[in-house]
Amino acid sequence: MALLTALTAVLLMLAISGSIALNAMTEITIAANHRDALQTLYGAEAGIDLSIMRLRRTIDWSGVAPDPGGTVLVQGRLVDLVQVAGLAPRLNVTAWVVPDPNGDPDVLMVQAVASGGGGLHRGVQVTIRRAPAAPGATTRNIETILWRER
Amino acid sequence: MRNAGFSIVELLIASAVTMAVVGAVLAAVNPAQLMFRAQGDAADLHQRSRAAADMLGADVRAAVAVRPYRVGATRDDAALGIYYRTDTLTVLGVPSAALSLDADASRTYYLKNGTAPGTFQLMQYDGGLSDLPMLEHVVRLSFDYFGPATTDGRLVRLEPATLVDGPWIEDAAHRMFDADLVRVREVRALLRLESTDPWLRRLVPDTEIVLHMAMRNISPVP
Repeated sequence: MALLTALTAVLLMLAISGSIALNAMTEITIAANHRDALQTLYGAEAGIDLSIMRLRRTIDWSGVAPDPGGTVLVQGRLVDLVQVAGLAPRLNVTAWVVPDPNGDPDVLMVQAVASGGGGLHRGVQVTIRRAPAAPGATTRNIETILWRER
Repeated sequence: MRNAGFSIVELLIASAVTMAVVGAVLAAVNPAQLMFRAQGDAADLHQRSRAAADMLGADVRAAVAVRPYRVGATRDDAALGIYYRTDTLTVLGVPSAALSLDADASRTYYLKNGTAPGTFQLMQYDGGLSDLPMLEHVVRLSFDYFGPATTDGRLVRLEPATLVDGPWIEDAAHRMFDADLVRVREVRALLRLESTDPWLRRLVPDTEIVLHMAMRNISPVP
């Protein structure tokens, strides 16, 4: 009788602890997916920032985006592009630039897509405009006209 | 020779011992069962926190402007002369839905009394006719606004008094708002969520999350 009771109790505890472990593992997976999705979004934003850094150094924007369908500016693993340790190694970023549909030479549309582990994709699209050159200034300010998540 | 069997006293003693053993086993299993229920409730709490972070984060990131009060066709705060509420945030110039290309919708987030006494729901108002509950069992919600300091451009908290003292300017929809709201670059949201089951609250403590959300559409690239 005592043996039977002890066995039943052990089995019950085993079932409960097994369910708790399963719940915990599911929760960890959900949390990791959420973290990866956020990392991927920020990866796409990093692609935009890298593109803008390159555009800032470009004096003449007329040749930056020859293809109306888009010209790739940044492509590769984010950890290689920014040379910063600790970034997710599987995060790949592609950013491309599209000329302004209205033909304004000081306006460009920059789009970036980041892909992480598990098939995650997040994209950001930014329309930027270059301010007129100030007298004597070597660089021109760039402002964001529109920022959208895709 | 006496026939083998148990006397009534022996049976009573055996029953008492069995009951004591079963009682001890149940006493050990019951907390485990409670822990099992609490595990699911904690997961639900975390999921609601993630949902809040995603929802508010995406809208503030995409917003062209924010208002610390309700804006829209029904129960508009400005029409009542209210220009600041601690627990209310309106985002303007956001897409009407995820992945949509338009950017002229508005959404207001605020707290409303929930079904359980003393609890609240996080509500979302679409600027038209619909108020929808987004999250249950929200205990606390507050928003703070940050903008560049006039001296060195560092982000500083904009005091509520500065957001209601004018000067007043008119937006594209001919609504007046405090000019200091133009300075807002970042919104900080504080949310406190509680377990949905009152019996589990000693095992699943309230979760408080603080979200710092930078508005991307109005930040000039330095």
